[in-house]
Amino acid sequence: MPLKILDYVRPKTLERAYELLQKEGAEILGGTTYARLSNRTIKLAIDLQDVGISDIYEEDGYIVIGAMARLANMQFHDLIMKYADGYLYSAISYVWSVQLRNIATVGGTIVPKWGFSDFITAVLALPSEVEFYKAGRMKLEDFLENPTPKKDIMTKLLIKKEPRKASFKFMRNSVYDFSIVNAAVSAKEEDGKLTGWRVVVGARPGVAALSRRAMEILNDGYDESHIEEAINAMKEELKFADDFRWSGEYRREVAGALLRNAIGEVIG
Amino acid sequence: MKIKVKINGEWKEWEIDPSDYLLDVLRREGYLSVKRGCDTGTCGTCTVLVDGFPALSCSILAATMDGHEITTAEGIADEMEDYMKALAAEGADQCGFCSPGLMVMVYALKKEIENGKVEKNEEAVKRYLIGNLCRCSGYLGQQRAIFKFLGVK
Ligand SMILES: Cc1cc2nc3c(=O)[nH]c(=O)nc-3n(C[C@H](O)[C@H](O)[C@H](O)COP(=O)(O)OP(=O)(O)OC[C@H]3O[C@@H](n4cnc5c(N)ncnc54)[C@H](O)[C@@H]3O)c2cc1C
Ligand code: FES
Ligand code: FES
Repeated sequence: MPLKILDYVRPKTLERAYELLQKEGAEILGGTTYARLSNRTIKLAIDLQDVGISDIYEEDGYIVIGAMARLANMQFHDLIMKYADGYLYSAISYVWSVQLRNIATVGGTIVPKWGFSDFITAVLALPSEVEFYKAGRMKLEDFLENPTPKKDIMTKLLIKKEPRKASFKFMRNSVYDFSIVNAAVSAKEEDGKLTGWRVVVGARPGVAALSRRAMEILNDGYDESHIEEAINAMKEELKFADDFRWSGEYRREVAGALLRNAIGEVIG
Repeated sequence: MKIKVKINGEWKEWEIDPSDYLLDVLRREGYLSVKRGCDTGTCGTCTVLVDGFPALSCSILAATMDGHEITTAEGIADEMEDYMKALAAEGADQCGFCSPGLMVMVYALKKEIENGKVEKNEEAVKRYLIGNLCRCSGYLGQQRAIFKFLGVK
């Protein structure tokens, strides 16, 4: 049985959308691409296209991306194209197809916390936050590591604007397929030095996670022995599991190799 | 419920069910160039333009299209005559099921190249068209025709 929607509304304000969402069986619509693949009944589908959360702009040192911005809007926005040498522009270009990126929204891509997500891995490697209408603002890692705010609306993704170098890597059976494992790394450029390292591995197959131990080690130094130590720490710290695509053990080894490449690219 | 859409340049009002996806509605209304291949967002045979940008009609809830502009292969056939000739000259089509969706993509790609968003080279063209699958041809005939049509050297 395919997806069934009993009623559809397009409120004009976030306040109204939030109010409607509190009804039993009410759900938010993003780009509706993934909703399509499920076979549940939504009693009231709430379309956010008119509530004014589609814009992308700069504010208080952050690049702010409205949750209803499409992945393609974000990819081609000047602020994103110029950030970290086009790092996100390039990473987003590997999310499936042009036709999907023109529809899928930033909110619909973050809120479900899908393990296979390339987008979440790439963004988590940058200091970033998400904002919900009721639950307010939180770090992206806190959002990912804790239960999702219930019956709430994601309104913004915020990426700290600072000089960063970053790299995103993935392994796929074919380029037009889901990643079997992916990794991303970034570091802040400060007085010719790299600080504030962030190390992420995703599609483990669980959702993208920071390796805090690898980050600590790289913050200490990024010569060959530190890099080796950081990769080993990541392999110990993060959980990898089997699924129908690959084994957890193989993922762990490949993640190490991806990480080495990504760190190498960041150091340059 | 009712939706109003501007389809191939003309405003129309359609009666739909809130569960309908755009692909279902377009085919019901007679836009048969829009094909149902995988129905899960992968093959690209259902590609149409929404407000000028290529999108998968199997993956957009029809209700969300109220007030928007949709263009199907029917709406650009005249402008794409040279492309169709190039395809025929290469003997590229076999069953042709993938052709309308691919034509919509090539139309969009030509505009993106003109406004500088996509580079005019083989690699960039192939990446732009990655979401259009063809189960018969092996792609080479289409590729030659597309490179010729776009002037990719
Ligand atoms: C065929 C296919 C291939 C894909 N391939 C890739 C890939 O290679 N790499 C990758 O990273 N991703 C991939 N994706 C995922 C894609 O990037 C999107 O995440 C996904 O399609 C959902 O986006 P959407 O806007 O359509 O969300 P929807 O389907 O509309 O919504 C998804 C969920 O999020 C909720 N939601 C949406 N917006 C909000 C909000 N603002 N606040 C609260 N809840 C909200 C909805 O209620 C729903 O539960 C793929 C998806 C598909 C369908
Ligand atoms: S039918 Fe829409 S992508 Fe295959
Ligand atoms: S020619 Fe048959 S699917 Fe492409």
